[in-house]
Amino acid sequence: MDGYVTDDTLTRLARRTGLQTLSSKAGSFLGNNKRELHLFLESAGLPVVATELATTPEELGQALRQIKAAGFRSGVIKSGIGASGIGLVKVESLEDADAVTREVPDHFFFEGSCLVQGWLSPGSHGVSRVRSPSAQLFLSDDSIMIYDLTEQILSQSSVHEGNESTPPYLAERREWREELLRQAGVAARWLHGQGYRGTGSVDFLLVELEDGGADVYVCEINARITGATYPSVLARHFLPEGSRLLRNLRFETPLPGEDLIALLEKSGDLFRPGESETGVFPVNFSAGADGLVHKGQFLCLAHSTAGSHVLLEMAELDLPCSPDRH
Amino acid sequence: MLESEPDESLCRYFEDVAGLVLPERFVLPHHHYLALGRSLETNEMPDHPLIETLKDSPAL
Repeated sequence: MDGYVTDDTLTRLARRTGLQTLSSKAGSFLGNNKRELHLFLESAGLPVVATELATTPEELGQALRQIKAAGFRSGVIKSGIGASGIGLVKVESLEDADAVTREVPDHFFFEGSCLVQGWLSPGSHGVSRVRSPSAQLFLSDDSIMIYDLTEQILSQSSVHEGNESTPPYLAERREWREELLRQAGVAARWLHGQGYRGTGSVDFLLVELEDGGADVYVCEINARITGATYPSVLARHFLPEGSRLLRNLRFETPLPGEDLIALLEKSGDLFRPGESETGVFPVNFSAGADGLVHKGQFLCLAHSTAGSHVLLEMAELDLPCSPDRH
Repeated sequence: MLESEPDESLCRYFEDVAGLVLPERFVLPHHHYLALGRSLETNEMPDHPLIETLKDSPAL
């Protein structure tokens, strides 16, 4: 038995029905803890972004000042556990640490100390570009599989808006791919050691430097189904040698799901296995209180990266929508 | 187990067009899920329909 996370309810349900949970509750909890991961990465000698820990609002102010003293103009505050932008605050300016501290909710300290990290961006610390690759994992009792490398499409404040595979730049930089896989393996073994089993991801920052080099940092682990889990599995099933792009789209005029699929079909965009080799696969519809679809996730399956981007452009033209940006 | 009913047209696409096999679904709003967890701890709700559904699951 498995869930988005393994909690007390799932554990009790499994016990009552004579089943076992895939992951232990402790594994699910510890595997999602950003602070515990950071401490492990440091101890394992993997590169980490400049980080301070803060247990109280007073310590948070001090941590922000230390990050500023290290030469950062911006930073990010992360609670021990969080997801989808909850438990994460981007600090655009580190000039007034006390003002920032007043804005951070108390629940950021609920799971113990939070992390305060420097924000790497082009123009400082020799950085020319920051990318966001991710390694998709499946952990069983006796094996760890890294089954896909994806690129996350993130908002300015690092909220997931889509993803694609394979990151096109990795074809030309095999050494970056090898380093991503090496660090993903180290992080995944830590995750396995926490007792977590199931799907997950290791998210990275790949920081390109002005001198042509690059630094690779493990950013976080998602010990759960991620935004890339279903797209990766579906793409492997339907078009294993192809490229795929998943994008969240928001509908300016909400509409019934049936009408949405009919629009895709009428325009010729809809993916129909056996009839079309490529196309748009609707993965998820989010309905509002009115029962209509307000936003959705759409998987563009094509033979090449350029092809998947063209499919997305066509879908955006054929549907009454815009990219869902945070 | 889902928090709300999935979109019927999307499920039809998955099954009839994409040829996927969907698992049996059980809808349980989140506050009911939490209440079920509490009742399982105290054994106040031994016959919840979800438990019967899970016991009858072909996956077992």
